[in-house]
Amino acid sequence: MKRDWVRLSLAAMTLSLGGALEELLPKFIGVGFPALFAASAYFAAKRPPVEGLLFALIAGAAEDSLSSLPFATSMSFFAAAAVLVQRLRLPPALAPFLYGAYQLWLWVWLGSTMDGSVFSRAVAALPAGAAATFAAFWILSWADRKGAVDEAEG
Amino acid sequence: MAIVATAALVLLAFAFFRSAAPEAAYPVERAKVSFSRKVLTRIAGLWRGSAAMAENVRLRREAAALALERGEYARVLAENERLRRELGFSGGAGGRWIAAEILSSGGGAAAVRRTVRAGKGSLAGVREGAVAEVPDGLVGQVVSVTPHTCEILLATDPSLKVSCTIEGDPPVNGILSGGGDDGLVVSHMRGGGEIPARARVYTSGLGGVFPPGIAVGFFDGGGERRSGMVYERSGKVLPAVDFQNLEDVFIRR
Repeated sequence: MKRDWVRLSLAAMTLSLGGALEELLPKFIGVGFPALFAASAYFAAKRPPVEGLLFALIAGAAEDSLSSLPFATSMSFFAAAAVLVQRLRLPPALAPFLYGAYQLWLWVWLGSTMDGSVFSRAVAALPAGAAATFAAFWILSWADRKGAVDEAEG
Repeated sequence: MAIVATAALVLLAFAFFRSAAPEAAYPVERAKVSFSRKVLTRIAGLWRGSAAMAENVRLRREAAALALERGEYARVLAENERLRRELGFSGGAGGRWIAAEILSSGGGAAAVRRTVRAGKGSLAGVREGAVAEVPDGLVGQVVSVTPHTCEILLATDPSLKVSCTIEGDPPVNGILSGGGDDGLVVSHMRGGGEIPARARVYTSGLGGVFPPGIAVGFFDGGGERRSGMVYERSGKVLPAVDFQNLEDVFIRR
């Protein structure tokens, strides 16, 4: 039970901090550091399928809200990416490419109303996605380890 | 089971209450801005003490001059109100202002609009559609409101259209929108002849969304292009506001 609460707390903090970081960190050609997407990839890779998918849906809903996107635009992509990560067991190194594909997905739904061209956004998405993925996997792995230690001690 | 149930509840909240995610991120953003303003500025002040003293003296003088101007403004406002009443004109834009600090810019990582988030929301009286300004001119329009924050669509976003007037004899009306790279574009220009270099551009009040007379920028040359059977005049506008360094905005109630 305690372990459940630790995991829930970590997910809640990840959502709050990830959302805030996305808004606070700088953006290049309209593309920011995808803290929520990277966290969603982490949860998809490291948690049971249902839990990973639910986190992806929640993170996608948060992204939709923070970026003023139409309902379920990000939510659907985050969920699809989570399923891909789970089924194909994609390595974390491929997450930035999924973030690049996300720019294409946004372009499909939003088209010419997007800030910046789809190609420049997709190119900018690779380094931004790589940095966010590296940071998210490192921090969340550390938090998971600390959570497990606390559980053992408790 | 507990995880799945809680997660499902959070998902419902985030999906159906669009203000839930910005509100969840608000404490962190607010803490960052407060730390930056209250701690980092004091640390920086230690290194520039004498310069800060000189700036303080200058600002006191400016404040005194502004107080005098404010008295004059109140007198003109009263006279204007009396004349409006005598001529039977409707009331001016007027209104009170809500000062709000800028918390962050650009929305989430998937930002597809040029926006900033300000630290006042519905609890402070901010409404969707309200106009945001700074002393230099128009910033944009409030597009979404949460209890503690609001999102402002910047005038540099291509989707925000502002009816504007370019100074001239006679003045020229047009539609202003974002043109990329923090520039502005005025299109559908109607009326008037030659426009002087660096003519002032301000809101016309046509359309009823933006009150008239708010500075927008300076005309930076234009030309004609064929659009179907007619020639359309358009031009570039240099923004009056430095959108990269916004710290506070004033939102009309």
